Amino acid sequence: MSFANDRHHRLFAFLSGITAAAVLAASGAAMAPRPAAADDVITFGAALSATGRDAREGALTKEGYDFWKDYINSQGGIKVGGKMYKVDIKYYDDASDPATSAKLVERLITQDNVKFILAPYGSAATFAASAIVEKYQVPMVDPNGAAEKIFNQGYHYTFAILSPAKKYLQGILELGQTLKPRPTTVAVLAANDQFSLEVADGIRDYAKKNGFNEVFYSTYPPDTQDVATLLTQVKAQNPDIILGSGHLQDSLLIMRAAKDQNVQSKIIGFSVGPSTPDFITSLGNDSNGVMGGAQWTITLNYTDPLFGSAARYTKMFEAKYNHVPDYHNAESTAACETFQFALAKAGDLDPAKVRDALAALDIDTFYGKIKFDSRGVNIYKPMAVEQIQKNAHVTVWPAEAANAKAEYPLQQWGKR
Amino acid sequence: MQAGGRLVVGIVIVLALSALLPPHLNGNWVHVLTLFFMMSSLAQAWNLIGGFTGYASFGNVTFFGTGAYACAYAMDAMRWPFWTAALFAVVVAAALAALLGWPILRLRGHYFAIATLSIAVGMQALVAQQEPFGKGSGMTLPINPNFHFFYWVMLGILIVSILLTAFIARSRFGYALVAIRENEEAAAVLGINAARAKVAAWAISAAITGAAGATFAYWNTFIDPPTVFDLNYNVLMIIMTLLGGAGTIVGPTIGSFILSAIGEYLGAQSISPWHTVVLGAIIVFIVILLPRGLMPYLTGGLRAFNLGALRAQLRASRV
Repeated sequence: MSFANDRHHRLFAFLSGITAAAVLAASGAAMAPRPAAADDVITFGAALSATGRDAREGALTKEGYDFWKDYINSQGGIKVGGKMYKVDIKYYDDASDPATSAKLVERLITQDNVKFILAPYGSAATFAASAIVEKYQVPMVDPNGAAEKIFNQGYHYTFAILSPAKKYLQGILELGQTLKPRPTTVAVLAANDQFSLEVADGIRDYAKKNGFNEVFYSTYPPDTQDVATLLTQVKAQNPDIILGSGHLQDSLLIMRAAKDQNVQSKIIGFSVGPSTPDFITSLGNDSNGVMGGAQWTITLNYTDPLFGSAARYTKMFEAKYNHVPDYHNAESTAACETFQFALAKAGDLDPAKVRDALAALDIDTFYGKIKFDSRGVNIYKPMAVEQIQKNAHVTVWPAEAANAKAEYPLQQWGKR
Repeated sequence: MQAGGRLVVGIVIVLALSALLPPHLNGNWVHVLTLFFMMSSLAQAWNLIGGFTGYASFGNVTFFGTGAYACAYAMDAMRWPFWTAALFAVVVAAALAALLGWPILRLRGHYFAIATLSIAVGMQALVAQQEPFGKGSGMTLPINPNFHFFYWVMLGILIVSILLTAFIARSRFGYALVAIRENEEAAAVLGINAARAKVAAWAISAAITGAAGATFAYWNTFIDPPTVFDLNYNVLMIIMTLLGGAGTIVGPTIGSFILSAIGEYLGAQSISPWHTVVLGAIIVFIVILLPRGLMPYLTGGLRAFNLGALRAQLRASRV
């Protein structure tokens, strides 16, 4: 073995430097103040998409969570087992990547000592996170992950308050059956991802059983930037109904391509997109007449022990964020509220007890009734259909919740 | 033994000792280190084709995804145990590299880079259309709640990849790869079968990458095409290798350590999108100031810091 002596020293210095740095980092991490340590604060944790493809939906989710947090704290906090607690939410950015979501949820649980998880945005991220909460036996309430596959894993710690994916766009077809002249032909465009494929399956099943004729079905890559060729094919079939199952960016792309090619149908609807404030601001008058599946709308007449009613929730939310809450906002707030009721019912901060309280919950909220089946899916939840009329959202289905008549058929491009 | 050799031995010993850590770490640090081992393995694997052989592959993530899907399919549809499934994944990934490499490795420079990039993109689209692989819905794997298991497997893959690199670097095969990198025609004149050596290097690289992909799939319990064919993995493999030192034995692991540590520190701070911007700026800074990576400084100390040479280099590259 031959080495220059000074090299040896340098190497030794380097290695000890690395070791020292590692030890410092580890001890620094161990000594870092932990938000959950304050004994009169309950800290929730969420890994949300602040960057990446789902950044907008992630931001809406965060507004929903934050709205609840600020409201609760302004009311003095929540009462658990006779003691009042303030609430806090620890956030990380998962960059719209499911693997990062899983990593950050594990970080929230094991590093930040968070015992209650609010789910990420989207089915893939929720799926990844649900494996982590299961492992640590920490309850997670899921407002945004609708793919049923998540709930066929036999997990016990994930609870979804929203309707499953396959129901997202069935409402538009139900509505279609009541319209004159009755639309009969359907074209379906679906992003090739778990959630969107389940939505598409739901549409196609319903269409087949209820006398609709599917004239076109195609999937597109979930990160697509161009749907022009798809719209060319759709146009050739001249369908009465065009349904897109994907996410906000996809629905905007499809709308623009449809306008470029003057694709005219009697109904156009999307699973995710029309309900968000961005849809109207991005498309302006072109957004009029577009329908969307909605987990919740402001016209639903539910009462709520916390916010009073859906209407009062809407008013307070609008005052804070300067836009009407969309269903992402509402379901996210409702997820927090669900946790709150479970905590109150458990009367204890023990995750296992809160989990059991969630499983046995049966409550009314501004978002609707909430009660979970053995898989952790809300059994009560209906879907609604929204339409954009005069650059604002109205509810057109189901009939008992509707505050406007559906505009049908869709106006020509340029006259909307 | 040279300083470089001592560094390799030191790092392998540190890594081997880190196998004792999991019982003393919380879940977060086990996760962070498992991910670090995985990224290091991917960078080590990339280094064999990109660093030693000089073929900048933008398609190595193909083998990560292929390994993940092969393992998921074997475990889910065929009910194989993990070890058999992982072995299957390694074989499939290596075979795919050999098959693709035979025509593609005839291309050089930018052409090779673009061809491999399109393979990565094409493979993702192809897998997303296959019914047995669940199309865009992806696949689910059995759950193994023992996350220490994944820590040890990823660590094992990393140590094997470093030892393999060290072995190759000292072998006739390794010299052939370097000769190909420096001047492929001259290497051929020396009697090196360049085509065979390149394909072999890529297949070994793919085998390691496929093993990491298989382990990732089992660990994550759920895979879909955008997750396992994510081009970001490929970009990270390259940056980590360049940062540490391409064509060196442990450079990729060192680069991965630094980049992972910075990413971990910045990513853990807040939800603001700025951490990606800061990380990007750091990468640009490092690439400009350390064109040969960190290895020369680790083995030669500050003597390697030749301001004049750096200035000349910057001028030459018109930065």
